[in-house]
Amino acid sequence: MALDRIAGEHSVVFIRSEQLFDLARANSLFYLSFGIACCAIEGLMSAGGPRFDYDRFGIFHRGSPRQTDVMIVAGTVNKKMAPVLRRLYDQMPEPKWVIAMGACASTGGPFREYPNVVLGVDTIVPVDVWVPGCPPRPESMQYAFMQLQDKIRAKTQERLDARDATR
Amino acid sequence: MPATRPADVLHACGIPFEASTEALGDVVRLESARIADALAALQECGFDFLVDLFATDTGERLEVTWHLRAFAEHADLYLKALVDYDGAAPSVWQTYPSALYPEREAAELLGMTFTGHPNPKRLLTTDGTRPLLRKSVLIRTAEEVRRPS
Repeated sequence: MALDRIAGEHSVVFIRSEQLFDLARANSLFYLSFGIACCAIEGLMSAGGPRFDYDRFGIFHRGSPRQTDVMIVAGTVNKKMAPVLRRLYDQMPEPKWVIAMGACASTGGPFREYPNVVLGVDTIVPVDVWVPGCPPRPESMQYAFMQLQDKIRAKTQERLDARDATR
Repeated sequence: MPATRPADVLHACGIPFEASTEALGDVVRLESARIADALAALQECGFDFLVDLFATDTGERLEVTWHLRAFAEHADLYLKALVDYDGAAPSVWQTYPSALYPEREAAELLGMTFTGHPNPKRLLTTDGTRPLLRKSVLIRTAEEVRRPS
């Protein structure tokens, strides 16, 4: 966050702690390297590699759910995978967010007719951002992360407004 | 064709069979009870690799296919046997250890058993899942996949 550009160089910024924390959270969204289908190639591998380089937004992959903020559900979830997905989500520390990437994670996608496929991961974990596409391009995932950042900022503002209203 | 023709090998073992050449390749149909003997004999005569093992639902019975390959002769052979629904075929893992996983897969997806399998657990699905590749297990309809908005 280029605070220097807003406040000038060597300046002091007064900020509420909630805003500071959420500023940090929004700009260091670590995602779980948990790819379950072809979407992972676009949304996790290509996105993390040098071409799209999400690291420049502070979006980086982590191997352990204990160190992550975001779970990208990248692929078809079948009934055997569902409890595993839920467990990984439960292992992530709060605050945490979920991005349902692609048609499969959103609705079951092209495999929705098969009785073993879960019709959307929102039946297992709460989803914050839905990304359409089959698979979505890494640019779509970039936009999804921007939406998520907006959502986090909006949540802070909501909370602050609510507290100010009670004063 | 291999130096020893598969038909001759099976004749020598006294296994009744029916050979034909189909779009798939050289196909030998035989009783499921004799499949273990036939595969053991064919392995002796050069079919040293089990490429794949799969089953299909013909609508009346299940058809199990063993796909063998003889690398030295560059020959492929398909053995087919019919098995009843919920029936059993002998496991061939002692002849071809590569049959272990495909047997588990075929068993759970078609609802059959392979007798003598050392680890007859499910491979891909969870307990209670119906045999998904049977024709009687229908795919979801348009109404079923529609999500409440």
